Amino acid sequence: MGSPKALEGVRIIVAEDYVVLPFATMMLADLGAEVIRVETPTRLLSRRFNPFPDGVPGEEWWNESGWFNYWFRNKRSAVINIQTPQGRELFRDLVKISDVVATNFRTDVVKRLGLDYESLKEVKPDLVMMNVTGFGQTGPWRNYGAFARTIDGYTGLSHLTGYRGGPPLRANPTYMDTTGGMNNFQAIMMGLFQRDNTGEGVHIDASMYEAGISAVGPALLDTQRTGISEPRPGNRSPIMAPHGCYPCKGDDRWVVIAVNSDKSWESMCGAMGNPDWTKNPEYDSTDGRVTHHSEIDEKISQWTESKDSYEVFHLLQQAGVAAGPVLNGKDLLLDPQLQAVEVFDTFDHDEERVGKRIYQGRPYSMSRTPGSIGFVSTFGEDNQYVLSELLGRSEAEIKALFDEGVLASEPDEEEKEPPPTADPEAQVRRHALQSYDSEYKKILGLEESVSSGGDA
Amino acid sequence: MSGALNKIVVVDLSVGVSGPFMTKFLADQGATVIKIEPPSGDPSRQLPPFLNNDNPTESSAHFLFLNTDKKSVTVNLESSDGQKVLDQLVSGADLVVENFSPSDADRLKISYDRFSSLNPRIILTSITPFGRIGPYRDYQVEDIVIQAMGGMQYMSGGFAQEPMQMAFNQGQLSAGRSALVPTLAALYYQSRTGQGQHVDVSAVASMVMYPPAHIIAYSYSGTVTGRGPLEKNVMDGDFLESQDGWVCLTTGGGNTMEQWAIFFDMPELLAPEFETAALRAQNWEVLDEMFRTALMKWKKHDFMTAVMDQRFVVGVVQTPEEIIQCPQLGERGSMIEITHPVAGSYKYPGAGYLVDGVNPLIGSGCAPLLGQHTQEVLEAAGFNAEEQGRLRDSKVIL
Repeated sequence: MGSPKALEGVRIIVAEDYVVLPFATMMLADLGAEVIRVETPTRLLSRRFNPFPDGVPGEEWWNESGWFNYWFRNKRSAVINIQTPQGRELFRDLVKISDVVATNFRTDVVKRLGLDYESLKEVKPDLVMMNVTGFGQTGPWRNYGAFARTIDGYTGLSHLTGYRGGPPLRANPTYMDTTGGMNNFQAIMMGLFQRDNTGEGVHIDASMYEAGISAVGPALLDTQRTGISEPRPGNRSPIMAPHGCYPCKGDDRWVVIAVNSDKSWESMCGAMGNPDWTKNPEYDSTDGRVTHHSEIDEKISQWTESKDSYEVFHLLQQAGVAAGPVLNGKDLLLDPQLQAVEVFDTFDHDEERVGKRIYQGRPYSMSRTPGSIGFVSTFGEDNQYVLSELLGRSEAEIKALFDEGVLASEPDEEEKEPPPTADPEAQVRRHALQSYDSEYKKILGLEESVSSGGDA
Repeated sequence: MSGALNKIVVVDLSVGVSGPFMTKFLADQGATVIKIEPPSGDPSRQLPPFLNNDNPTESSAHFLFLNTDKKSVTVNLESSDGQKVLDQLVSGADLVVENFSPSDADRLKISYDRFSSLNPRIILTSITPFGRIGPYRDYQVEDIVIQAMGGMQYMSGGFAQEPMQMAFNQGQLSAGRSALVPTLAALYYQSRTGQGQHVDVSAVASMVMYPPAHIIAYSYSGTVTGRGPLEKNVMDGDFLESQDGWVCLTTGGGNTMEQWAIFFDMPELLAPEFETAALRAQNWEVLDEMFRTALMKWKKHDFMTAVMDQRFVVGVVQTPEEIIQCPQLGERGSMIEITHPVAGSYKYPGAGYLVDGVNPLIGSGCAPLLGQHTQEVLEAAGFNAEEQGRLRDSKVIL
């Protein structure tokens, strides 16, 4: 028998695509909530996204997307065409036996389908419902669409981030998806606590934009006093110096260093072997080092560029200086610390082409109710469970629903057109990707182990 | 204020950014958060900018933002009497939060075993830089180290330029957001079963969850995501200058090339050399020239509404001042006005969502002055005036 799950007994119905809400409900599912994703045979969207195994979508590509298998793990798949009246009735029947409904479809679409809070609370008065949109369901921007990469600009984070003297910079195209997803998770939990307290339904109108501005709270306070915002700091800090990113040996290898006190500077100088240039008395104070930041950066770069980034990291950390190598996706997968805290999960998918892959798991451990990946549902895999076990439909009724196109176990024919095959070598050539290892499975230890036949 | 968490009592030993950001969410939703500060105060009180230069330690914008709705109690945990105060507070709490380094936690005897023997239903959430186990457990971090070692920074910035950090402590904020996830789940489990547990969160591992596709990219196809050449993504995300600031275009979903061709009256956009993102990147210089000229006719928010009214999606780089003035946030009441006795009245970001049409943070209280609630909290925990006097004399509390 496995460990208990923190959210066992909570049932959540989702109509979701992309990242923001799928990420939130993935976290709920990891923690034991029963998440049922109602998906449609007419538009596969989230099952279409790269990466596919070795860049190639296979015959049943809709079960092979790494994107899908990551964000939609631990969620049951019910393929119900909610464009049909019978499909919407099934959806409402599911709502009756659930705790939460969450969707990131546009407000007018949700309303047109009759799946808005006003309609659903009639069948389930104590329903917790969350609508996630770019800007919220009210206000002058309520009908405007958004992607995480556009939200980054609205929130001010792009304005505040960037090279010194350069234009604004969106650090990552999906940071606001994960930030928003964390906020959506929180909102659903608040909804559950509130429902349990009051016995009444709760409607949550979540906005990616509003969730995102919490990333720059102090800047928002400060601007109300000054009417301006500080210039973009690059990799520097207002209170530490030197503070930056320095080149190391190898292709695109870097180390970051943050000297946070005079004592830390002394330790750094010691780690570098106390070269003569460090003996400038103006460097003894943070203010002095801020003033001479550029010349100090140049000297540090000369010291780091012949060294491995992990070597600089250990050398400085052992001297008590905050430093770290700049790690890419491959580095993260191989880093001994991240392996020790078990942030990654290896999951063996039934689809042969997918098989064993490594995913981001959870950055936390829970001593009593650990999270885990239990399953990844293929397209429509849980139709029977949902229709028969949960909704009590007879075999004859289910068959009729399949015949009428309300239920499906495969995508519509026109949706089966596969997404394009990726050519990693070409992508590296045009710098869309940094590098490519054809031997990645071996590097990650994902190859089928050859049985030695001996040890039991 | 809806106060979804108003039955929950939290003893918050965390300082800086990560832990306080997490407990801010709890406090804002009605939990009683008793913030234990060392007599010198939470170091984040020293972080600039300051909203009142006459009294900087009570007006750090970081501290004020991260500690709304909390009570401040100053306790010297280095003394055995201070530890007894902690025991007493933990006995009446549902959750303890700490972000000591593993060695400091050992020295101060902060452990789940100790707290659960005092209070079997207690949850302890620990946030450490790297984790409480593993080869780097005793290494130290600043925010940029979390961003670098969590895999975020590598993908940020321009091709062949140095990887760029995100501004304003995103590494530690991300750790706080991540820690909230298992903590809320543990609280929910506790509310149903009465059972507590130890929740353990690594800040660097938390950052790994943020830039999402790089792990599956390698594990599915052996590819390493880097910093692509930003300027080549003219229509797919690069920031382009308009009359009064920066905007970005998108081509995701629908027939957006056709829509753009109509919107800008640029039939040449329908040429085969612009059909896919890869082709657009190859022929980016032509596109760059076309859009830079076209966008100079627009002010950014006028451009935004003109495009978005037609249901395709653009971004606008807003400054913090523009966010404060934003009509969308204004009409939704998304920001909350909070008055602080030293800093004054400011608008603070709200919950990120409305509950039944209302910002659940309306009525929020300001961050506490150092030690503002020491007497009140100790009294409620059963320390009479005489005992408090003794603790004060021996500098255990302030």
